[in-house]
Amino acid sequence: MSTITHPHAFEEHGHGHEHRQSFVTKYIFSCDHKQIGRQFLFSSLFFFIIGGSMALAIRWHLAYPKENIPLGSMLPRSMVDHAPAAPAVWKPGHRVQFTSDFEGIASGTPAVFQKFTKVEHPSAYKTDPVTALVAVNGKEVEVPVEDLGSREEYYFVRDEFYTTLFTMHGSVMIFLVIIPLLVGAFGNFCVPLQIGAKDMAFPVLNMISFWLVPPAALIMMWGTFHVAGDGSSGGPGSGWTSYPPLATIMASRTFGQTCWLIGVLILGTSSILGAVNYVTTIIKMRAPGMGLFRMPLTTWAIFITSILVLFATPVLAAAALMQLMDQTAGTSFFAPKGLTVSNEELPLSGGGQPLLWQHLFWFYSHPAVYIMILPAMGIVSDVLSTFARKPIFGYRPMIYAIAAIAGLGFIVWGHHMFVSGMNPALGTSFALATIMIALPSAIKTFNWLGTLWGGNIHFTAAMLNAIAFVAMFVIGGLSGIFMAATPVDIYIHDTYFIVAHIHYVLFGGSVFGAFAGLYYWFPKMFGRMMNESLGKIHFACTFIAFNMTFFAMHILGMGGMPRRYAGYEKLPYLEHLHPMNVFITVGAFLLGASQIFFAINFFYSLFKGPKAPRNPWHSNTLEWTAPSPPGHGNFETAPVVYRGPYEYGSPQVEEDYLPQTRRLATEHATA
Amino acid sequence: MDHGRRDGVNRRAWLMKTMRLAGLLTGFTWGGDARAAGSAGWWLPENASAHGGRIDALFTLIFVVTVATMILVFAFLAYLLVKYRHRAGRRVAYVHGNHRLEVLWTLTPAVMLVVMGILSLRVWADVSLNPPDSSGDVTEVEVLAQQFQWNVRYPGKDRRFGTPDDFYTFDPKHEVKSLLPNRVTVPVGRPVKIYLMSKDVLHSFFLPHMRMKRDAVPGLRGVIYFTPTRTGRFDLACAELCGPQHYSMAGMFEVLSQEQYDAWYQERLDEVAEQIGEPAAEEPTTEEPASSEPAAEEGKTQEGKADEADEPKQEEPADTRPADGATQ
Repeated sequence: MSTITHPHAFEEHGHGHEHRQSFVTKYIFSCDHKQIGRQFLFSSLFFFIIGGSMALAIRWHLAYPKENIPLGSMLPRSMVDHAPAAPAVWKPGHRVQFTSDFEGIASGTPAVFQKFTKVEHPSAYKTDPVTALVAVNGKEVEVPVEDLGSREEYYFVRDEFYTTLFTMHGSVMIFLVIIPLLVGAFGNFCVPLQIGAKDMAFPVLNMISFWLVPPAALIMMWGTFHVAGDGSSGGPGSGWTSYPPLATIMASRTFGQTCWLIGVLILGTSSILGAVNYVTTIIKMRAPGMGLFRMPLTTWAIFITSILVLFATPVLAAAALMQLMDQTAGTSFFAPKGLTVSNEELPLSGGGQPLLWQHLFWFYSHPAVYIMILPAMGIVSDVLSTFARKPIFGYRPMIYAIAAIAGLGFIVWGHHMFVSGMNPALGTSFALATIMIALPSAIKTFNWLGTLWGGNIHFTAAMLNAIAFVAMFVIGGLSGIFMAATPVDIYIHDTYFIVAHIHYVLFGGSVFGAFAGLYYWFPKMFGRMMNESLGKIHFACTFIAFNMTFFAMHILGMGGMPRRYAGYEKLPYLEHLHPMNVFITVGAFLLGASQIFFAINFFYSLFKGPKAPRNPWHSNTLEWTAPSPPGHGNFETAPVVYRGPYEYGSPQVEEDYLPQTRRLATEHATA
Repeated sequence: MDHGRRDGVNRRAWLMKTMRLAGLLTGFTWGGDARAAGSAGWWLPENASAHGGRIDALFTLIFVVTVATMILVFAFLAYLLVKYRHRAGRRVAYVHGNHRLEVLWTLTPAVMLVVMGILSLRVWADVSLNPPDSSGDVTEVEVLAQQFQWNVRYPGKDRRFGTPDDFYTFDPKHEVKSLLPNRVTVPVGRPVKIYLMSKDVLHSFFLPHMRMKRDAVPGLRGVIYFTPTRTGRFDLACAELCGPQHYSMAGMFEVLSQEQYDAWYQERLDEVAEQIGEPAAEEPTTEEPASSEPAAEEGKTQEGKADEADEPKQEEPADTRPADGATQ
């Protein structure tokens, strides 16, 4: 108990700003929850750029597989290859034996060979052929041979690096962006402030939980740019789900796959340390009067998320350790005996089961989806209530809904495995549980709408993002029903429909929620206001480009386009989807470009923004009673809480808000 | 985009893309893509299996319900945003919730979801849980996936896998190879039962037009079953990441009329009989036992010859799939 700062310790310690700190302890190895939150924020935004760039490379390759990828000539040859200029392949007067499509790909010949499906036989003419049939984006087009001859060399992403790209896009966005951003940055910054604590319960543990991220990220990035023995990219290439035996086989080819696993293990440890801290802080360090049911929903969401992390992440850690042993120590938890690759039997002791990994992985990763969305739900609830100037509709149902989602989240993992080869009868129970989880989501959505009803809605940048969250979460939630219906999932499983769904939840949900939180708490975090107009432009561009990009993916999925495909020219039934792929790529690049507005706004406001007042949004919760930014120790005087967090528009006072700490004549501090 | 450096091919391709994109943006057409102008455009590809209609019906039902819900919710949201936009001096409704409403908007979706759940579980049971008996008119095929190829085996005359009269694209014990990889041929209108296995990593046997998909798991022998209802050549794709060339693991699912299939099948039988030195005309009454390999051991013995199966002595080449096949 002695390590926990009791709330009543405020008086004894006096004000925090008297603490003397060196540059290193204040800005780098800081134990202050606000600084750690900011560190999480910066690292997440940095990796947001990396993960986003990877997505753009993926999209370019899908839409323009035979065109020079931007900056391609600057990338190492392990990642991109270049197709030779056309004359090297075909010279007028030469008859070229064109390889068939299949052999061309299978034997790893440059992609340009695949382009030439047919050239009219020279003997049909006295002279050289004048036109050639060329497959362009899956369609045969007649072009003059001169055009073929003048083709310049171009750079394209190698298949090996393509798999690394989507593997790392997913891993970076999930493990290094969304979880650290929502749980690490907002959790760290907001939780102690919102409950009226001076800091987290275990400040050093908190520091360690952040400082585990950079080494993990470095290891993962090193793995990404690893070069395999044969000179091709040696990055991790079995998806963010890292299904064995592919992952194990990849690991025998390249160390990059093992780097990924080590990185995930370290990040999992970081998550667990953070979660222990949040749970302890919230249970033990609330200010006087701050009953559990007076906590803002952001804190509630982080609280429940942390419990999820505590139950789920150790399972991932165990599974990751088992896979690590499979990769390095010769065990075979996840591989049966007798696997043959390139006609060589792998030296495995055998006895393992690939489906075991999937069960363990999804036992963590399905709750992880909620780890990534619940904090955003909390943030959005705070923002909606604040800018609708109205109490949150159904405060307790909201909490129960979060808890229900978290609880049900543990018994639905099998819905990722309906067609995995697991006994289909099991799918029945998982389908029912999955259908049930739609209910608390519906409750939350309707309560958000209820919050807007009868309000006085201020369309700030934060509010716009929060409203977008609600709208996009509706789409993401509804598209989930398709997957919960097991027979439909047979068809749409592992297609772009799933990609669309997860992006509606994780970008449309989590990222819009994070933007809402950033615009909302930026003044408190950095003591300066962000530019509202730039924020609105950023929102509008992001919202439009986001829907361009990801709504269209539903249509790809309905067309049956499998995900994780580096090309689809071998599947004629997907040909007609090419224009849609181009459209999506255009949307993705616009989405990327839209973030420039945010970057400008963020960095400009960081240094030059107008000084933020203590409570710029006229909010009720405790963080707004502290200075902007709060000093070490957060509050000048220990806050005492008299009411719930959402007393906007209360008839008891003149103003349209009634802060939790404001004491009215008749009130007592007891919860 | 540096247009100046682009050659003719690129310029044309770019033009085509731009035109199609324009078509897409206006929402009218697919830019003259005749094949896609049909039912396959923005919807599911045409169904070609008996159970597929039920999956499509379920999909359509969910589509209608979710789109209607989405429109209602968005309309309500838009109404709220306009009606309750900020006005100076507006007094907000100071309400903290409403229990009746909570119950209402819990029960309404609950009822809808339960109905959907019951409907979908009925279909699921029929599609996944009740494979037909191997006797009778069921066509049985074994598919052994490997990086990046689908190997196929038919049980041959005795209708048993692992006997010398099998014909296949793989098998180390027998030299008989009568088939092309990446091509499964079945008759129309009769149940097909496909056993799925894998040599190396996870693959997923995906037949979009058959509305069928199942992972091939190393160490397990899964089974899927369905009845094709249309003849034609349909796409076979791999839907589970299996390595860098995952996307190239395409194959063909050929559905022939009964007569065509019988002829094709007899041809294969004759080929096999010739190769194993047994007269094809013999009746299979002798029922010789399987050549001593239990099915459980098949997994570890299927090495060696699979990649040589690429040079078959087959009359038609593998890559001549006509455009009118799958997606008409």
